[in-house]
Amino acid sequence: MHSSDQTDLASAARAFTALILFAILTVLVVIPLVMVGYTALIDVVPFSGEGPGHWTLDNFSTVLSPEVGSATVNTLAVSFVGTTVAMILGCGMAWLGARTNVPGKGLVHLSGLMPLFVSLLVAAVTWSLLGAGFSGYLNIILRSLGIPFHIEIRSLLGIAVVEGLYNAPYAYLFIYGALMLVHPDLEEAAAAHGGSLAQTLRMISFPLVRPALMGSALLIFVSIAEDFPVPQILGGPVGIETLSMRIYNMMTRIPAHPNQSSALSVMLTFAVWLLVYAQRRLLAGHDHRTVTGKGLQQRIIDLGAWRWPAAVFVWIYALAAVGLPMWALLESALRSSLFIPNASAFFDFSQFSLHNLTAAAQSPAVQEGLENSLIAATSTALLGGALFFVIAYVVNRSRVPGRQWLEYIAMAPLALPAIVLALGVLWTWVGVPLPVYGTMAILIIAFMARFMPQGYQTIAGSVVQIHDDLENAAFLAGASRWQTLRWIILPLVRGGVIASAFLVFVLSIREVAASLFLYTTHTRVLSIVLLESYDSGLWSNVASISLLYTLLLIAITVAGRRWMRPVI
Amino acid sequence: MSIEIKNLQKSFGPIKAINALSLAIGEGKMLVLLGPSGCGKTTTMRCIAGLERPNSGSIAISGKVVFDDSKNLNVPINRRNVGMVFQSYAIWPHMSVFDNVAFPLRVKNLDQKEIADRVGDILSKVGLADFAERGASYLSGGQMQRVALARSLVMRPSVLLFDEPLSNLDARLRDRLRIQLRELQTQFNITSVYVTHDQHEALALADQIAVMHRGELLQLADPVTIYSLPTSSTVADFLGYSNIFRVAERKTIDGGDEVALGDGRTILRSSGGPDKIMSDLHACVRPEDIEISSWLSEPPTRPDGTDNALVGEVTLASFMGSFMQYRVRIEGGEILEIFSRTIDTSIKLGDRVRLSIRSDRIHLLPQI
Repeated sequence: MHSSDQTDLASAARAFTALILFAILTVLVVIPLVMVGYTALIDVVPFSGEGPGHWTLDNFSTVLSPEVGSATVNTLAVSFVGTTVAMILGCGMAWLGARTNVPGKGLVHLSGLMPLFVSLLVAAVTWSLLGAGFSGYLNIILRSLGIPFHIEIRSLLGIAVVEGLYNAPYAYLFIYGALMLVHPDLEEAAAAHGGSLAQTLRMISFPLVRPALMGSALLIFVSIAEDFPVPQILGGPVGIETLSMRIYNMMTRIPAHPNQSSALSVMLTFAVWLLVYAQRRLLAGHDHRTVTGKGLQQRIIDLGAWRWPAAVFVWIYALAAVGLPMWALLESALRSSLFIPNASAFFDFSQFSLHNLTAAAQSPAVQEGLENSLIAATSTALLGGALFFVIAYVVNRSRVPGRQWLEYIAMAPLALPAIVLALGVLWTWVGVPLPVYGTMAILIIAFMARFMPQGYQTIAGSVVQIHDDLENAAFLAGASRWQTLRWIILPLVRGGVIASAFLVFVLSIREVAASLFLYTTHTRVLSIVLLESYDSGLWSNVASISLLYTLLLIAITVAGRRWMRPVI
Repeated sequence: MSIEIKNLQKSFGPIKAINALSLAIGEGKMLVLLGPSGCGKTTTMRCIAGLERPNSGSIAISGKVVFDDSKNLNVPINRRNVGMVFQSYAIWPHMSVFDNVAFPLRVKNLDQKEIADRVGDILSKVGLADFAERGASYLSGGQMQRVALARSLVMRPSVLLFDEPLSNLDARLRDRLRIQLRELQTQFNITSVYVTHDQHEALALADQIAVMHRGELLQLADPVTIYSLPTSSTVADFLGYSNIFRVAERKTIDGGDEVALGDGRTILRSSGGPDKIMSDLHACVRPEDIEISSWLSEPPTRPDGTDNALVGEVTLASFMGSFMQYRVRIEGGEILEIFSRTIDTSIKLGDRVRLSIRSDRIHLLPQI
């Protein structure tokens, strides 16, 4: 009965693996969620020494104040307008990039990579430089040109436009990818049967990629609705508040209302869940895959005279999203005097010096922030890469009981606003007598939970691509599960694992909201250093840090470009 | 017996993929599992390999039981010593040809010298000696198929399984590799199970053919027997009897049966059906067993008068190279398919023609 012992052993090993993975995911994702819910339902702050407290629903009723009402309206308004802007830009760029001979395609493709090296925090800071009040650079230029028009970026519309500009790449990636997968015959058939270009677009191309359209619109809506840095930077100074800001303010402003903050978190999470569920439903089962697996030679439409208006559209986008912000950063970081009397002063190079930049680079806060960011991102990438690979392998390639649930939990943070996750991680670890709270460990834990969906999906994508037969052939050849893993699976998914770790690394460096509530004096990451510098109002310092931050992200992107996959 | 399957059952949810299947394959023989997709042939093979766990029954390979549900025995895949050539070939793309073939020996921790010898030997036998160092992703379909075969042979398996290994190749290559495969199998004298839905492949390769349908074994016999004496119309259909008609009425006459088809207007004489009275009897005729001649020519008659003479109109005449393919609507309304070796260009679409079928070529068979 040697063999049946082995069968028992195998199923015991499976059960053990399942148990360990469920335990890890429970600690990372489930308990933080439960803790937010628990805090929302009691009348004392957890682990504050105020006793066990009582169950109550009061937090939910008292949180529904006029402030939350206006924060909800603001959040919805910014999300609707921002999503609209992002979809128009993203769709336009995707179609121009996938199907036309628009001049300057490099710029179009650049927008697909942009989310990797532009942090929303930096974007908000730079647009604040460009369009806030009379000293906004664009307003100085407009005034000098005698144009009676004034931009106010610190407004609901301003926040929405900035969100739209920087969320457009997600629409671009989704729709460009979908358009490249449409078999060219389908569009050529429409043309052959007498369809004009506009009719083909309207009746064939866009309906075929409709799941990608709807899916990306919902994704963008959710990510704007839960975003923290942009509304905080642009709306904070003028008293505009969104829901994630409200959660933050209730936690940090005195008198603090942690329980009500948690109650609001529960409600925001529930709303986001509904939207993400809708998005998944839209994407699932609507896979118009008319693909052969080979790269399809797509039909390129000659735009004729329309090439140049199309190019202007692309240039304006690139200018607004990257060009102007970079210029503003350079101006602000390199000028020794902040006073800019008129537009010609922008080109007064005698004012330029590296003094602010070197001072910022040498400041202990920035150096510590950089070090902490690199430690947190590297640890998250390595630990996360290993964990996500194991989950992806177990979910897609084993018979471990309950493996579908592993996937559900791993994908759950997608529907968890970053600020809510930070709150949950705080409540989870603040009372645990281990050196987690107050150390880098808690940031790494939060980042691993936060980027689990992206990291998991990237690896799962390459695990799924490995045909079952490749693994079965190894088993049949006499290899054990470990030998198969070591010699067949790992070499084949290596690219996916590296891509996943790299993605998690970059996302961790960029992250703002998941670090809130979790850092202490010596565990500030770079984004937090920047945020605090902004709060203190020293503009040359803010710009210098932003510039350094952006240079870091660009360097990482360039260094890791061969492992880059779309950030979805 | 080299493989013995007893009373095998396998369900996927409510669907019975294999139902009470019992089979035995002799040492060094090739058994072909033939049937339409979903008939359970691939599941049967995967159960032998250990890739699926049956619900009940038993499987023994070379006298050693590898699965027996009554004893809760299930030898893991990697301990069964079973070779398999996958439909997708499953060549590991990150390894060279040599590394692919050496893999089964390396996991057994054999020494380098022996591995090199055995791999070199097998690669030259399949004609890939010059390709050892080539990356596996740079191979053609036919080469991949041979690498997959070499990888299975090198481990000296107790059984070799083939999962439609030729179906992804073009027709000419398929014919060539089919011959090569049969040669290697007989040369190595390896007990093999081969899954296909292609009747030509089955007839050409098999020592024994097992026709499966909806999880059950319909008939097990050698190729000549199964082709000339199918036991049911379902088997006949699968072996290329393209003329199958439901019998409406059967009358026993001197020297056989007389059956009425469809609405009763067509009467055929058969030299004999089953003795039992059956309600779902079918008359089955192979397309090459029908003779076709122009209406103007003399009606062909046989001295014993056992021919069926029919008259019809040509609805399709198609030149196939070595034969002509016709479709003829006979007066009773049925449409018959005919392959004729005589290339008679005078028979054209719409022509009236005479058909003649020998009564011993009309098989009266139950449906299953």
